Order: sequence, then structure tokens, then C-alpha cells
Amino acid sequence: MSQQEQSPKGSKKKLGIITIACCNLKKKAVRTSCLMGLVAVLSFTLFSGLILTTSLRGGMESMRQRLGADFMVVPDGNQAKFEGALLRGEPGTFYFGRDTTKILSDIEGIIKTTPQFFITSLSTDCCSYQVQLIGYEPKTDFVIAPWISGQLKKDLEKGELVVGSKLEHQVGDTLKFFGREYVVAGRLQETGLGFDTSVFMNFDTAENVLDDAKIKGIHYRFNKGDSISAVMVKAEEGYDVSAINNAIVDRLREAGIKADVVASRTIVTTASDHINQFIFYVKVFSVMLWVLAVVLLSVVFTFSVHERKKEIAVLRILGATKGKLLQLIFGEAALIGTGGALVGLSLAFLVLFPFSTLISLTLNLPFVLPPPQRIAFLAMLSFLLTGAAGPAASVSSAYRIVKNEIQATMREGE
Amino acid sequence: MLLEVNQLTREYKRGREAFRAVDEVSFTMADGEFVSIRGRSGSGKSTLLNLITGLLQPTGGSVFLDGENIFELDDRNYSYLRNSKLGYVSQVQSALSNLTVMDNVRLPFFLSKRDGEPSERAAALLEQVGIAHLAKAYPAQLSGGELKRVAIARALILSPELLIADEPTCDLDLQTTKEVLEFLASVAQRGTAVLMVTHEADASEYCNRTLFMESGKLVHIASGNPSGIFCSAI
Ligand SMILES: Nc1ncnc2c1ncn2[C@@H]1O[C@H](COP(=O)(O)OP(=O)(O)O)[C@@H](O)[C@H]1O
Ligand SMILES: [Mg+2]
Repeated sequence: MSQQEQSPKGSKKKLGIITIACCNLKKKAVRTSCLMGLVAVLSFTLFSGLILTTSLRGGMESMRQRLGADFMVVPDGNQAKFEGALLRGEPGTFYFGRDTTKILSDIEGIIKTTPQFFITSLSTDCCSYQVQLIGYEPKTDFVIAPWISGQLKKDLEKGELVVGSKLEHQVGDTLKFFGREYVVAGRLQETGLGFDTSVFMNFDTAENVLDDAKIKGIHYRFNKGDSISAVMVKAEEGYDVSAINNAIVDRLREAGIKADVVASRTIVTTASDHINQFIFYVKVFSVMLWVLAVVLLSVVFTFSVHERKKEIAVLRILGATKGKLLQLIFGEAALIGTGGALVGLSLAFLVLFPFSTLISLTLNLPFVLPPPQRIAFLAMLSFLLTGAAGPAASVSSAYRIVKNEIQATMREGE
Repeated sequence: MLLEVNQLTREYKRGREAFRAVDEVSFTMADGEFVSIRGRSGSGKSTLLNLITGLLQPTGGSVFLDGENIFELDDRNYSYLRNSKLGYVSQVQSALSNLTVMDNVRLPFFLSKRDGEPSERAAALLEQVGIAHLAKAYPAQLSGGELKRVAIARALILSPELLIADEPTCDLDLQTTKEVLEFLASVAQRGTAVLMVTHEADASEYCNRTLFMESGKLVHIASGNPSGIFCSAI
């Protein structure tokens, strides 16, 4: 052929099938953006759904593993408040006698007990929102200590604080409660629990805070030196939930203490049920959306087949193999799919990560974002699944085009 | 022989009855020949051309191009043959609307593996058919006559051995018709055989031979200048 010896001139672009596909998409900008938008919605939903469910599972898992206590005993009628504080950091106060701890530790099958003391900060104090202040006993504690990132130089002293992971204060910073400043001596790792937005201190510091509160005219209903809010209980390995539960209830009744007993297994199970239900809805919704997207895309692709038939016939006449035609059909669909998927993923990244705290608060469920590799994997998965929606939707039109006798298609395209 | 058409037949169904749009047509063409086909509308001319390019499957008969039976080639070889040995100018507008005129003309070059770059040749062809100034335009901005020239330039980009043109002059004014016919004649003179369907009685002046079709059959083969014959039937 004569043009084989022609030298390449300038930087004329090659007119490969993908270039033609791009030209087609560019010239039909409105149609292309609508279709990409559809795919973007799909990938956004799919990815967000995956991240949400994984984060909730992660929150669940961390709660199961790391909620150091097997039972938590709180004053009668305060179970809901306590769960709110424990799971979501909703500030709450309630008190009963300190001797509860001693009574519980004597029960057979219970190996550790430690008291906690709850105070609510004023929202004007340190942070833009109310914070749950938790007094704990570093000597007997087994719930907070495992979470402290790094090591405290020494035991927590009076006037020192440990802050949850969502508070921005660093070690050495100061926080003000009821007019007095306290120094941050340590930080907790992310727990996915209410601990993340709580501030911890020893009992001496807690009493100090209460004294200041009184000066400011805020009275908590408690007896100084004798009150606590909850007792965290650790049972022996392989304990029987109902046996221990009953033993606690019996012993406290004998002592004349009215209390609620919260088993962490029950909390975890209840939360699990919620989460599994949520995950189920997310799954159903994603599948429905995927099918809907494929159907919608199919309809659009099939409608445009009329116009495409002629283009396909022309390409065929000019010497395109059936393989090349398929490349064109699927190439365009894949470009729409991948383009839309990328847009959706980017939006999801912009929305999900900056607002993860807000989302977890709204959902009222423990929430721990998966590690980066896992996020990357989920992003990849959503990308592939949604990117595939385009080609999947064009299978039938591609099949029809390739099957058709070309002259017939040329006529229909007129 | 460049082209051998033997007993070529194509049946269509009209209602329940089968009829032959092309009925046992046989003829041959040599390299560089300029042959025109005339006949009434519906006599089977387009169907015949589409059979020869292999776009339609025949009910019977064979077409040999360069000694190869085109109906026995597989998709790859047949595609390559259409791409490199055949040029086709269809009766209907056939430029790809999302590509510029220049890219439409360059396109066939990229449909098979080749070295080099077709831009220079494409530009030269656009110059020859007189629409060099429209290289960057899109088909929607062109007139019918201009689109026909795009199709002709595109059909010639790979210097085919046979150029098939289905009514390349329909809807064109007298002057443009003359230009197109002269151009096709010059193409034939440079060695590319041209098979053209036309309604122009004058076209015969440019052709080596004129074939007449009626109800799917070749009824008359006139050589030289058969002006006058059959004119009333067209
Ligand atoms: N796909 C088809 N199905 C049925 N009949 C067809 C088809 N294509 C063409 N025909 C018929 O075949 C005959 C020849 O058509 P055609 O080759 O287009 O005629 P011409 O090009 O000579 O005007 C016409 O009667 C036409 O109606
Ligand atoms: Mg015709």
C-alpha cells in the first residue's frame, strides 16, 4: 500500500477504537454526563454502604473484644442512660453507694471490680459540646488502662486527665472544667465506644470538679466520698451469664441496694442485631440500585442503538472486525462506567471521612473506620462492581448489533 | 480478472412470496475499468453492490475479488479485504457524525494494523475532491454534496483496487455531478477500478461499459457510449 511509506507527520492523534469511543462520548456530552451521574450515584451508595457496614462491624468487634467488663452495675432505673453513656458518650449522671463495689467483689466467679464516677461538664467549659467526665480508680481499673495510648509516665495524679480519641487535646494541653484548669496526661486510642468523647480522671480529681461545680451552683445528688455511678465487673473465664447475673441481683437485694445489671454480652448482641439489620438494608438497597442502574443504562443503550446501527454498519463497511465493534460498544460503556464510578467514589471520600463522627452519632451505633488497606480494597471493589454496570448494560445491544446483517442495519439507521 | 461475479442471486421475502432482488447476475471487471450500472429504482442495483462488497449474504452464486471468494473468508480476512481492497460509497449519508471530516477520512487507515500516518494523504484527497477547507468541520455542518465527497475521499484513503459507489451523484446539481464523475474517471485512470450505480444518462460518456438492470437481471451490456438506449425507462 502506498501510504505505508508515508512518514508520520506532526503529532496527529491515532484514531483507535477507544479514541472514537471518546469522541462519541464527548459529542454527546449531556447524555454522557447523565449516564455517568447515574453510575456515580451507584458507586457512591455502594462504597458508602460498604464503609458504613464495615465500620459498624468494626465498632461491634472492638466493642466485643475491648469492653473489658463482663457486667456493669448501675443504680436502679439508669440502664438506658448508662448504655447511652457507654456506647455513644451521651452525658449522664446517677449515683449509688461506694460499698456496692465491695459487695460485688465478694461474689464467687467475679475476679475484678472497679468503680466509675460520672459527671457532666458544662458545654461552655472546655469544648463546644457537653462532655462525659468519668472518674475511675487507676489502682483497680481494668477498663480504661488498656486503651491508654503509649504509657502514662506514672499513675494518674490529682489534676491530671486522660482524654478520649475524639478530643483534640494533646498531652500537656490544659482543659477547663467549672473554672479550673486540668492537664492532659494521656490519650485513649479509638474505642468506637462513648469513651471516645469522654474525659477520664481519678476520684480525687473528680471530687475537686464536683466542689467547683457546687461553687458555681450546680449540685449533683450524691454523697461526697461515698458515691459512685457504676461498678465494672470482670468474671472468670467461661462464666455463665445468667448465674453471675442472678448472683449479683440476689446479693445486692440482700444488702438493700437497688441496681440494674447490664451484661456486656447482651448489649453487644442487641447492638449486633441493630447493625445486622442495617447491613441487610444496605445490601438490599445496593443490589436494587445496581439492578436499577443496569436496567436504566440498558434502556438508554438500546434506544441509542438506532443511531448506533448506522455507525456500526459504516465501521463494518470500512473494514472493522466484529471484535472491533464490540470494543467500541463495550469501550464506551466502560468509559461511562469507570468515569461515573470515579466521580461517585471521590464524592464518597469527601463526604464519609470528614463526617464519620457525625454519621456515627446519627446512627447511634459504635463506629470504627477500617484500616486504610481495607478502605482501598473496598474502594476497588465498588469501583469494579459499578464500573461493570456499564458493560453489563450493553451486552444485549452489542449482541444485537453484531448479530445483525450489516446492510439491514445500514437501512434501519437511515 | 479483478472481479468475477457468477450467477449471483439474492432472494427476499415479500409477504409470503420469495422474490429475487438480484437474479443470477454474472459479469467481470478488469483492473482500472470504469463500469456503471443503470436501471429503474427497485431493480436491484443497491442489492447487487451490497452483495459484491460482501455486506449481504447471497442466496446463490459467488463473487471473486482478486481470485478470492469473498463469501468464504472468515471475519478477520473479510474485514481486512473490505478495509484494504474495497472502497465503498453508500447511497445514504455515511460519515460518522462524531468525527471531523479529516478523521472520517483517516479512519479506515486505523482499522487494520499499519505503519505510518494517513494525514498527508487524507489532506491531499480532500484537496482533490475540493473540500480541503472543511477538514475540521463535523458532518452535521456539511451539505449533501460535500458529504458525498467526504465518503469518496474516505473510500480512497487506502488506494483500493475496487471502488464501489452507489448513486454518488444523486441529489447533486449538474456542475457538481460533472465534477464527481470526472473525478471518478480520473480515479479509474490511475488504476482503481470503479463500479458505479447512477441515474445519469451522461455518465456513460465517462465509462468503459454500462450495465443495465431490470427486475434483478442484467438485461443489456452496452460498451462505449450507449446514449439514448433505455433513457426513457430511468
Ligand atoms: N432488506 C430487504 N427486505 C426486503 N426487500 C428488500 C430489502 N432490500 C431491498 N429490497 C427490495 O429489493 C428490491 C431491490 O432493491 P434495491 O437493490 O435497493 O433497488 P435499487 O437500488 O435498484 O433501487 C426492491 O424491490 C426492494 O424493495
Ligand atoms: Mg439503490
